[in-house]
Amino acid sequence: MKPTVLIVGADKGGVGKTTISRTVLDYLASKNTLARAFDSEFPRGTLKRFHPDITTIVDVTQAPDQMKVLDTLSTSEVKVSVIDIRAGLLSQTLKAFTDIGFFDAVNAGEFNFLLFHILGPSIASLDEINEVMPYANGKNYFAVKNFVNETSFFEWDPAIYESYFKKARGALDVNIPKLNEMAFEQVELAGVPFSTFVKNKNSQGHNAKYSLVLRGYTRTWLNQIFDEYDRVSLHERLTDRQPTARAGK
Amino acid sequence: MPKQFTYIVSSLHGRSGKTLLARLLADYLILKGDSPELFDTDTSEKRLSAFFPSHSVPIDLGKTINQMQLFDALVAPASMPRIVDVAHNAAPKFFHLMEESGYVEEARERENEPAIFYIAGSDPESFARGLSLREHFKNCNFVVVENAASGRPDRALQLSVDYMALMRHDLQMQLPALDPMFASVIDDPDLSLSGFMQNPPAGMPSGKVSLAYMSLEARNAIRGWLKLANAEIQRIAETLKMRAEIRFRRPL
Repeated sequence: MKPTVLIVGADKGGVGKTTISRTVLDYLASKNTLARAFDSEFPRGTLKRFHPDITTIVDVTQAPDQMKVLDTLSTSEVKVSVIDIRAGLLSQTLKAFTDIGFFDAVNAGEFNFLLFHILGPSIASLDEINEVMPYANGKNYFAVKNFVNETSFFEWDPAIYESYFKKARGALDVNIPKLNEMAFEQVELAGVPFSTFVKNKNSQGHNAKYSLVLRGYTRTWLNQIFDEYDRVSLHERLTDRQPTARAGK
Repeated sequence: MPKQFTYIVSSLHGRSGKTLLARLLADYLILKGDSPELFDTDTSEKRLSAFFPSHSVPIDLGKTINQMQLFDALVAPASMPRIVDVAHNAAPKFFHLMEESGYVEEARERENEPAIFYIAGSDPESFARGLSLREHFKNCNFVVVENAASGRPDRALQLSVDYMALMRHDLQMQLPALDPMFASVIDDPDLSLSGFMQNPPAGMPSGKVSLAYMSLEARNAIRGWLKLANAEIQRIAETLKMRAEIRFRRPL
């Protein structure tokens, strides 16, 4: 199996990148696939807080940390690396990776590369698509619409949206549904992976006392996301196998 | 700690005797010396709360905080039985949450036994709905309740597949009808049915009293009806208890 890098990013902040990264790590765990994660919220990472055992904090703009991520890809036992890129650093990171020759290696078939582009509610975030999409070489580019932190203002204008997606051919459309706010808050406070919360365990693996209702909301929400990831064959793509089903809209 | 029951009273439509059954259950438990905890999901009328102001918790299932208040209370270890009056308009939300949260399994782990009391009506949908509820909560105690006051369903309905399927259920309860003449008498929120059963006044009591005490005829009718209802509730409660002890699996 080829090493796989999944970059989760957006140039805008506050679109819920880390939430999405967390769901991906939960998803991989549910498929019994080992993963390692890199959190670029240097020096204190949010992702690290929820998945401390598998997360390394890195400064993706610095060469030593880039080495930590990329030079270990072939040697690491764990083949899937999820990199959560801090707000505002996505384009910069992709450029840096280009300069290093990472994408040449991807094109040469040495690595597998997937890009989760988290879109916010504004046109600005759609503009990013043009900029970011070419890096994923047209394939394995996921346009992730995140409804998770959304309040009521969030509205996609279908016409504008379609026009962007015509340009972004081959993009895979992923929708992340909204999670009940109180449930989201309680998971934040608990500081554990979503799946751990659902199982009513704390970070030490002991029984916790989370609300039954909020666990129910979280379970349903997580299952919806897993279904969505299955629909776009995320697991197959991350583990370098042929997608079983073509993603459609 | 002995197992405690949570009685969930539901029906498809309003005015089906749901609150009456919840009230009878509560008074039955009070007569036995329990102090049941009641949850009233009817946000507009709150009729159950009116009868038992000190035992009741009003629940608005439209609010997450209330959903938590209800279900988190229902799975907490209990020293007393609980009754949930599921208002017909709150029922879809209630059962959705009940399923989504995995309430039944979790309640069991903490020695709570949930039991759904479903009051079938006199229309085909209510039987279809009852079947679907039973199907959804396969591992939950389920009691089909026939409210005699609603009258018997017509012949066409009695011959329908859904009716026959639901009426073949292994746990059926008959809610006896009170003489309609006295129906409004027991609607008085100040009238405690358990109090009435405990202390039937010999003569005319003093002070502000319910009409139920006023005439010999009313007293006898209400007393007779309560005896029947309590005997029926006792039969069901004992059966449920026995089944919980032997971990009875409901035939489907």
